[in-house]
Amino acid sequence: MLNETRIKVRFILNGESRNIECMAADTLFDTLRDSLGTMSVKQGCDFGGCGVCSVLLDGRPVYSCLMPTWKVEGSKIETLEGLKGKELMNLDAIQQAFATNFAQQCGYCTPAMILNAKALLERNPNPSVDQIKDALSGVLCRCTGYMPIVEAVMQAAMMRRKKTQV
Amino acid sequence: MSSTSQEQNLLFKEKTLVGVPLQKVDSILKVTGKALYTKDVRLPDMLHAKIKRCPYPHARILSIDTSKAEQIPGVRAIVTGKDFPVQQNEDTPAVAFSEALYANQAVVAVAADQRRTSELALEMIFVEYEPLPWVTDPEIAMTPGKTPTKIVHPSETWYEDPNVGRHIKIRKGDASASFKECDRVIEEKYTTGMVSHFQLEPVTFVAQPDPDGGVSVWATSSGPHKTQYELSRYLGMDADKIRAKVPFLGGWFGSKEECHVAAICAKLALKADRPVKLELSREETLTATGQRHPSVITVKDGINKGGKIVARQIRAIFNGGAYSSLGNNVVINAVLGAVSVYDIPNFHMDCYRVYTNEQPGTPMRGPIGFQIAWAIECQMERIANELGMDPVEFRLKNVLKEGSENAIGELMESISHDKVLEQVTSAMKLNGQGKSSIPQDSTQENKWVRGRGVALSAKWAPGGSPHQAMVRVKESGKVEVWVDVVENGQGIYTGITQIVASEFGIPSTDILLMPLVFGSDSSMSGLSGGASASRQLVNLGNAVLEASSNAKKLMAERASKKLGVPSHDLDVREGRVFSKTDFRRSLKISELFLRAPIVGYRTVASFTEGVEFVGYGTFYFRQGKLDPETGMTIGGRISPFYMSTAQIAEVSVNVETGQVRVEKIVAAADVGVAINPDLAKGQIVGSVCMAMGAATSEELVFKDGKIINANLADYEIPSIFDVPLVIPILVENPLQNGPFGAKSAGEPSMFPTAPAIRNAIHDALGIWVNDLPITSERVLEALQKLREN
Amino acid sequence: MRDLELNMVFDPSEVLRPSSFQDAVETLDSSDSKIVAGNTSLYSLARKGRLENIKKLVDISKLGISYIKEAESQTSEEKKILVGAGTTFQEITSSSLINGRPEYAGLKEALNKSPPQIRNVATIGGSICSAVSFYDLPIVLFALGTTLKFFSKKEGEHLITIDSFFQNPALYGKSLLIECQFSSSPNSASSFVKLCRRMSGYAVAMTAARIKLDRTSREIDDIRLVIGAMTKTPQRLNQVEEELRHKEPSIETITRMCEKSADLVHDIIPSVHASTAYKKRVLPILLREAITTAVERATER
Ligand SMILES: Cc1cc2nc3c(=O)[nH]c(=O)nc-3n(C[C@H](O)[C@H](O)[C@H](O)COP(=O)(O)OP(=O)(O)OC[C@H]3O[C@@H](n4cnc5c(N)ncnc54)[C@H](O)[C@@H]3O)c2cc1C
Ligand code: FES
Ligand code: FES
Repeated sequence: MLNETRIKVRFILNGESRNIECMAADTLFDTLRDSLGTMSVKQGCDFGGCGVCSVLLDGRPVYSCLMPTWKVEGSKIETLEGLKGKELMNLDAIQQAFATNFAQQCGYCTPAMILNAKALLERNPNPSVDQIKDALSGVLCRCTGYMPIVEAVMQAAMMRRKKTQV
Repeated sequence: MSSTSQEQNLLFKEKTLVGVPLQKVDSILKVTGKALYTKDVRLPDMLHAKIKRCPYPHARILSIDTSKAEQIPGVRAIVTGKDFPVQQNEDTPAVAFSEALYANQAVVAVAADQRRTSELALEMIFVEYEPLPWVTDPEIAMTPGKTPTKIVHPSETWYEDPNVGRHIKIRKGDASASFKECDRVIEEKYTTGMVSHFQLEPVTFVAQPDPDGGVSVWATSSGPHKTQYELSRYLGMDADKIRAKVPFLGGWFGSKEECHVAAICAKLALKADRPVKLELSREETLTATGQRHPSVITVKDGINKGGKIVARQIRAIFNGGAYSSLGNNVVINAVLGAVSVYDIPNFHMDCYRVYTNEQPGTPMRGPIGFQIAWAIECQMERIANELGMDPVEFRLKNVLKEGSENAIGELMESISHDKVLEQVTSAMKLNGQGKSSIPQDSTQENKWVRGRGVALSAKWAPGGSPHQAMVRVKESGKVEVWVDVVENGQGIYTGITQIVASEFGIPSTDILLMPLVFGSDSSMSGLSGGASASRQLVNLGNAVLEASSNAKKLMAERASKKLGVPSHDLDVREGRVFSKTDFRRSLKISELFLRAPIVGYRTVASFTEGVEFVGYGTFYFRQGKLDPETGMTIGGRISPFYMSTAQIAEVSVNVETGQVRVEKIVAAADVGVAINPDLAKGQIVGSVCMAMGAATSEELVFKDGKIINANLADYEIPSIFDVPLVIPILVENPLQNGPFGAKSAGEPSMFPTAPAIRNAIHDALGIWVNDLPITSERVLEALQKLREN
Repeated sequence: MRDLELNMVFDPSEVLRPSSFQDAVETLDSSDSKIVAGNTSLYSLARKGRLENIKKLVDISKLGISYIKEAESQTSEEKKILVGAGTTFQEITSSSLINGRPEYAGLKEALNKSPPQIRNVATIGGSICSAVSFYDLPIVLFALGTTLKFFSKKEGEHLITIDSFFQNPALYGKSLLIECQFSSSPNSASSFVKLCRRMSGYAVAMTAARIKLDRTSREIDDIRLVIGAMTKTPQRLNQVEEELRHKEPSIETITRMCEKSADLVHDIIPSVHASTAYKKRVLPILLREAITTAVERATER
């Protein structure tokens, strides 16, 4: 019948070290939601492409639904749960900008959009519209038509730049 | 809105939140990832369910052998058609009983400890089928003698032709006689394909057996009460024992009305006596749940010399798939769509919803009206072009005027057809008849040619479902709102919050919207029709206003003695009860409360003597009916009001490859009064982008009776690179019976986009495309035809 | 009836992490093992129920095959670049060896079409070894005349041309791809043109070209043209190449030659919303675009 072999994996999730056991077929998506309770990681498709399962792996966005859990051994994983700012209500600048710019309707794509924006802004504090579109192109949004999201990222970039100038 | 509160609005203008772009009340939950969706519901000991589906478009189920699967450790329940009360009617059964009528219809379901155990169990269940003849083309299905399967539903033939589940007739004047007298008669056929809502959260349910023998169900549904009552029917269980909860929805757009799938989940939970989660994959969501009805629509118009349409005849055929689901009811939308824009003295219409061996058609954002608007606005452009008239002028000439009567006898009030057209044309000029005056992209030897096109439509908001609300005023002056309101992204939580806050003149943070805390729950709130058909804001908005005013009445009565002012002279705002004639005679809300210690603790609680300050409200618009012979309304309107919307699209078309790039769309919509202008604009922009997808690339394609592109790689919704620049324009024409004058914004802007794009393509290249989606191939074919002529 | 003992669920039980090429190919010997690189295409196969018999996953990340470097012996005429099979798209696009060089412009265009989440993990090796005709990168690699270094149990390390790989990819099912080598010479340039239904997503049709111009005459010295998403595996258009070789790359000549191309390609597979006839019609257009772009780029050098 089904095999029961477990594989031990260690990684850092949102700054906390985790030791877990997984099956060879398990994806990071399964592990994050079923075992670790990071429910901000969503699912929208079967073979990759919708992007709502995005997480950051060593600072770069990946689709967690296509990432075998055993492959992240020793890596740093970030989900939206790990994003905290020191400002208002503990929100990061990107979160604030998304909230005030109506950059979410149903909100199902929002965790992934925010993480992708974060990965971009950490590398490129002053992105052009095209660079923002490229960075977010791996996540679909069925509700907003994307423009408010692009605007929110522009605004977040500005807020972050201001903060570093001070 | 009552006249007293209108006066209050004048007095307390500065305190109203109506028209304020308040940040969404759920935005913090959403940007922190804390918003709970059905997919996120986890219960102790929860099982995972999977469904085995029929591989044929039509088959008799000869046997189902579950014996091997039952022996797998961890398999806790298996259900087949036998587990449900037999439903020999046209409603989608939870699980196919003796025959499966479409490919991927559910045949057996399993719940097991782990997902992979359920998967394994499915592989160990053996079903024997006898494949039967099938039909997917509605025109063939409804032609006597032509169908390979005689009828999809042998038990019921309601209408004269085979497989017709619904036929609606409108007969106003004499269209065929008038055609003979017209200067010109133009007849064209338009088609649309099967389009998916593609809400990002796939269809999901969680069910839990309740201690009293009932069941609680978390559902990706548009309304908990709908799920509750439907489940009651499917399970044969008393509705009072069914509790349906709708947490945040990861997009909706009319999808997820899949109570038959909820029934599978609930049955498994009851059988296993454990909580069960049923998550449909994207492929299942695309192939086994309802999508937009494909259509074939013929429009025949007779026009006189002056450019007035004197007669119109429409034959609209909707491919309804194998069952009725909600489909037979939404066909009436074809009528509302066809009668709501133009004033045509002789109007004949026949709408058919036809059964075929496809998955049942279901409502999708602007259901049926989307298809009708496509046909009519394509036709309007065609006529204007043949007459050599300006497309806007031609439309204005034929448009229904305020106060006139439409073809089913409803009075057209509070419409803005001319205004929305005016707004879009002043924002972006049309070229006028293919005389492209816009700058063409000359760098690439004019391979990309630009054009602009216009379309005008109107959306209705059918009544019919009662909506109830309850508000409770607390000692702190905060107001609890108990309503079944479903937040699918449209911002209704925020809208309702703004309405109640404005009514009480308090900040939005003083509104305790209970669904924001618990999700929407059928056992906690009064009846509601849920979020569908553009009615939630108006209906629930009115219900909460009534509830608020009833709560205020109770407070006024209580305060009347204390203040020595008759209660009818009292109002409640900004945390005070005061005399409307003498503001100095007032008291704080807290003064109406008593306080008592909680024995044994140091806390003090507040309470009222007698009834609490709880107000109830019900909004129920009784819908009339259409006369089966003439199509005239009997016993009242069908739609209490209509919303006008117009758009101009600018496109670039590649003459070599046929690719269409939508560059820009100006979209004007009459929203009554925008309770929250940014939310309303968000709905417009979102609708336009979604409609653009349906216009240019989206379609579920059938081959041999099965969908061949049920995945993201082959069914492509617009990505961030594809969406045009959308400029939303709010037109405010207050609705007398709307809460603070509001109409709605969620659906109307779906209508004009596709025809505006198509008309823009004509402007660019002189070609007509009558079929959706406008694929590159179809554009090239049309170009070829043009060159050959 | 089906064999009841056969497990129909993707349920691998082991992850092997070989540290040498030899060990790696040993593990590939059995029919129930499969190499995992970026895994972006593997798990989709698994979810389509195509990997039910796979029990061992072979992780190749310990083999030291993620690199991008210049070959040591370089002539001034030809510069060779070596890319380890485990190198990700992202690593390739951000390499200074690739960036800003017209000979690899097509490569960059192809790599940038996929979303960042794919670029960050998908590997050049996985892209080639998937052996499908609708992935972008292999089309350009084919046009660049890439040499593939495989390691197999029988032959050890050996080089083959990408042309022979695509003639019969199944032959290499049990081999390990280690490295891709491609070279460039002055006056050469590449390009990539893709037609999709949306502005992103999989191609309905695509072409890649690599062109070398003669330094003095400015005639086409060498040309390679490859089409993807048209036929089952990527295809080279030898006949069109032949006709264009040693010709002056005027737009008229190019257009004329491209127009012939449609009749030279057989067994075109339709996609959703793009029939065989449509693909035939757009092929010459994409080809022309690819060639003229490559010529322009080569001329600018
Ligand atoms: C959402 C999405 C979008 C995409 N968009 C694009 C796009 O726009 N353009 C495009 O071109 N592609 C696109 N792709 C495809 C992507 O490029 C491929 O999935 C990727 O290149 C495969 O590489 P991988 O490292 O992930 O391979 P894996 O999935 O790990 O492996 C693929 C196959 O190759 C074998 N293999 C891997 N490495 C080796 C090796 N060294 N030796 C021998 N065999 C090996 C594996 O056994 C397996 O059979 C997309 C994929 C997804 C999921
Ligand atoms: S769930 Fe869609 S990309 Fe992972
Ligand atoms: S907000 Fe709903 S998918 Fe983006």
